[in-house]
Amino acid sequence: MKIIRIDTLIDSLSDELNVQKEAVEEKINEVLDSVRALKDQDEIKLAGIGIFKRDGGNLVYTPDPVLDLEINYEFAGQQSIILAEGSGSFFPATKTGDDDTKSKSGDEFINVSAPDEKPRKTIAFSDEDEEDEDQKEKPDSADSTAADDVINVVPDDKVSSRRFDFSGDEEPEVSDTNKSKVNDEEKEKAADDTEPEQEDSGDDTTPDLTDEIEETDEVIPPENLQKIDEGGFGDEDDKASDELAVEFTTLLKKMRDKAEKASDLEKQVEETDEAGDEISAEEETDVHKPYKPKPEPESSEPEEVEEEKEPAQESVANFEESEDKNSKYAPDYQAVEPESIWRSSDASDSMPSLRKESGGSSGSSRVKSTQTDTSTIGIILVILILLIGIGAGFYFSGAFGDEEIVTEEVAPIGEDDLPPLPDATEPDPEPVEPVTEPEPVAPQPAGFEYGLRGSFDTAVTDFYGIITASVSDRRNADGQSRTLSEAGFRTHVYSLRLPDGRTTWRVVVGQFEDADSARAAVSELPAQIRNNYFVTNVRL
Amino acid sequence: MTQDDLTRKLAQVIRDELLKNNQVHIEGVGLFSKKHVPAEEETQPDGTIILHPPKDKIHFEPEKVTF
Repeated sequence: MKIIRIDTLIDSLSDELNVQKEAVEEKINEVLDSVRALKDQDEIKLAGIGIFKRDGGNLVYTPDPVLDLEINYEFAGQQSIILAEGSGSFFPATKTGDDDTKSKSGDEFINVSAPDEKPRKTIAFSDEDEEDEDQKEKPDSADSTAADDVINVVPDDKVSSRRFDFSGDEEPEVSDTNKSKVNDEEKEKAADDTEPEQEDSGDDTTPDLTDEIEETDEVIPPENLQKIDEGGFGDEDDKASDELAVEFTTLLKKMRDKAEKASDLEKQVEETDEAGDEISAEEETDVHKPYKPKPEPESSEPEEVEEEKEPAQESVANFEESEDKNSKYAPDYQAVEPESIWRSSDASDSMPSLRKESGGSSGSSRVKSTQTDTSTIGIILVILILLIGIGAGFYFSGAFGDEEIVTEEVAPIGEDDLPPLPDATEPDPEPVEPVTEPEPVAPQPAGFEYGLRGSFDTAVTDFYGIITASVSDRRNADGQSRTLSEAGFRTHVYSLRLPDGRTTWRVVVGQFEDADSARAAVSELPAQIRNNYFVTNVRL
Repeated sequence: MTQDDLTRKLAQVIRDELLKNNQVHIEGVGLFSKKHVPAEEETQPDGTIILHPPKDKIHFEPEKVTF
């Protein structure tokens, strides 16, 4: 926490207003001098700052509301809340000049009565025994009209005598004729009730349902009461219900008919599709039973077929006319000659169900289609078998043929005609040896001597050398080569294409006959190079 | 710029400093500072308990006038 003086304020003001500091200081001092010069009970209001008042030698400051709010920005908007209400009245206090219920914070609170006020009393319920000063002053509530804000409770004795006690002293305003009937019936009902009856007494305050019914003006005639009990309706209701019932039954009938027709059509469609699969009438009486294949001999089958055959169209017509389809199905069969079909196809022998269930033209066409399918499948199978056999034959024939060739030719070749292939097997240890052996296959020119020093002989293109640098920039390679050659070493720079396509420049030092001699000569190289080198076969 | 504008600007500067929890001392007038008043409960004579919210207010200490 720092203490900011007026000078700092003036500096910040001058910066903000972009005005000279002296001018700002002068005006500020004028304002402050006016505050300092206040006399007793004098006050001055500074816009945005507040009111300064001199009170008995002391300067009293009342901040500007806006400034006060800005300082209290964190808690602005929060209001006082009532945690607990006291025993005062709960109605809003009427505002008067003297009735300022302000707390020490200066806020006005509603719903809080001043301590001096006498709380208002509202009478909600009152017992007969209670004596209230207000009630004493007021006339009897039972006889007087109730106040707007007072609920009057009539004493029980008076109420029971008037409303709930039908001991006979006071008769309700009901017609006598209807009343007698209703009373008798209601009494019978009350006698039949399982609940214990409540004897009416002068002190009984609990009302009876029967009494309440008696009290009503609208009396239900006994005829209607019976109808209500029995569930009957009035005349108009009966007519409406009858009409509804009739409509409902007609709708049901229509729906049944439709359902029957739909089921019939479905059956017809099924039977036309299964005309070839139908069982003989002798065997089954119900068309819906599942088909059961019979193990009968073939001789008896054509006879059954003749009996059962029927054109599909006639069978459909028969189904539409009668309910009992089996009875009409057998006699309406017409002989059809599908014997040629059965005899020609071999698939029929394997499918006994088709023989028995042969039907009309639709059935024969179906049989034909199935036969064609089986025939095509058989053909395809045969073709596949043939292909497999041919493939197997080629495979096996080729295998045997290869063996024969091998057996025939290997013997003479193995002795004399074989090329000198043993090099492929023998030189397994040799790849190491030719490396060590003088591989500079290229003949040495006359006067050439291997070594680390001297001049590099470019005529020797195949030799072992010490690689001291392998860089991508040729200038670096040339620089190192120059320094080494100045030192007396035999150096040369050559390029090499790496497998990844990059070109690298290598500095090779010395020309040696073999790698061992090259490695032996490394000790003569400078220390810097000795730590980073490798020996390889160089072929230019 | 009128005097009122200048005093308003001065008020803003004072406000900024007070919000930084600094004190502003004006010679010959007094010391302005910010004080935090925590929430407090007030019990009315009739038993009503009221909770006042916390707040920050400007505290002014006038300078003693020496005659």
